Amino acid sequence: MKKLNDLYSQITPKTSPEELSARIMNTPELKKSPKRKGFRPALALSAAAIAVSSLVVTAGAVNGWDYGAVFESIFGEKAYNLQGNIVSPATITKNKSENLDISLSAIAADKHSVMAVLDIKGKNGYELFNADDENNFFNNFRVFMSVNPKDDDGIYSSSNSVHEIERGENSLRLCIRMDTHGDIKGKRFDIALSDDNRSKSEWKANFKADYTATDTVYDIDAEITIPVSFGNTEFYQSDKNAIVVDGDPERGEIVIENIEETEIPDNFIYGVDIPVEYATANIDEIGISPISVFISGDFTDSFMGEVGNLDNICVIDKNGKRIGINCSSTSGLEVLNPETNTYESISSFALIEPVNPEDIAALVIGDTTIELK
Amino acid sequence: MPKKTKGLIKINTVEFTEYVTKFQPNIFRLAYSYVKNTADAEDITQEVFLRLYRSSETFISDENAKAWLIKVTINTSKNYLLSFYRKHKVALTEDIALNDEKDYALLEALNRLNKNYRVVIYLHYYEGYPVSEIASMLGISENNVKQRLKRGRDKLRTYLTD
Repeated sequence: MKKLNDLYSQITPKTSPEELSARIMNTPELKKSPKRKGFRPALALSAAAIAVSSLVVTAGAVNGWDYGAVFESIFGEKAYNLQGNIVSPATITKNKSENLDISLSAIAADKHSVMAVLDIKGKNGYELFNADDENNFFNNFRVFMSVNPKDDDGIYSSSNSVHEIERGENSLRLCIRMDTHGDIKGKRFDIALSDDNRSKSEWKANFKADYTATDTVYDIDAEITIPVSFGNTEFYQSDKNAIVVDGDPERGEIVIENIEETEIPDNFIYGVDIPVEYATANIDEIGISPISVFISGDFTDSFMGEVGNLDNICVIDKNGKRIGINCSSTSGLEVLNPETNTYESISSFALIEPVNPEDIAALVIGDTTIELK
Repeated sequence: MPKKTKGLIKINTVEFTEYVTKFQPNIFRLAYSYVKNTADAEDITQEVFLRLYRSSETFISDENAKAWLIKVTINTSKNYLLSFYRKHKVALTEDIALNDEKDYALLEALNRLNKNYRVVIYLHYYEGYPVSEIASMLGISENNVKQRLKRGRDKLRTYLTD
């Protein structure tokens, strides 16, 4: 491997260390952020906090949750796709906020994702949407959800995304979503709301992903073929819709078609013939649940550059309507497959509204449409 | 793993500059192993050292610091790839000046590899990290690292004899 070492030694940055150091230390926007100053209502909370412990949320009809009212208000009729995914009620373990009324209104989950709805109201004169950025809710509070450390055996790397669902005069409905790469069923979760400048949370709850739904992830095993390098300009322009692999999803096959027209990239080598290569990869799993799309690492590693921007993912229903535009993603993590005892890479993409996996006709990833027949 | 001291800025400007001088090329090469082009690798390198500058990490040794920087580079590169980079692209090598014509063929072959193979090959053969440490850095099993090394070598051999 001496040749490799020689080669790597020749790959050097153009920027000198001195230049890079100076750039980081001297450029104002790259300097350490100054501490913000000024009055912050959240910091003025009295020590006489309202202590509420072990308060089980019991309102609602299904499994302790007012599922219908909450998720229907968010997703309309599509909320029915979440049926059966309601987790057990949560326990509020801490509620010390004098400025906020916080209630956990609903939780739903699938194999890898959890959505929780929080209703927040300002009180005691605290204005959630104070025009002064220093004082409003969004600059002072953070919401975070995680797998309880006792249940986290190392594979629950995750991402959080928070979406504002509804805004009242001094109230707010947030949907906090967490995507993980481990099967979360039966795991305990913590959800906390804390002052940005405090290490301790002001409000905290925990719950168990103890939903009764059957496996809602729709798995597809498939083998796909896709071009991994393009020929000259002529090929690039003309070879659209060329990749068709017939298949029957019910038998674990898949159809790929419609490599969409894309602008010729700036750095494309004009007039140079590059042999066109096609590569085949197994999609170990494309999973579609009511709130997520899962794509195996085989696909993302091999074809991320070829299918286009992986952030552009959506699904198309049988009527041709685009639904479920993704709102966040988690990728590059390795998940232990208990059947083979090997680690596999999976990416998950959050859908901003629930879908019925049975109604999905196609999955669009970047420039590529994968039709599910 | 580096010991973290909350609330203290342990790295002064002299130490920071020393770390940049010592490790910038390594960080750049690792980032390049992910993104396959020098411009993006430069951006990632800057981002990694910016995090170091802003962090309150303190290191007991250079190796300790290097391990921290490599871990941050891995995460930053992964995020970078996911965020916006993905466009149709033909890998070009013209922005790297190499000594030998054969080196261009080797670089091209390396860049044809799946990034998972490329990264472990870089960490093992150039940085000299043992399989166990690479497994820890990448958050995967040792067997997986060994498998990637073997498959990467095999594929590299195939590409070079094409």
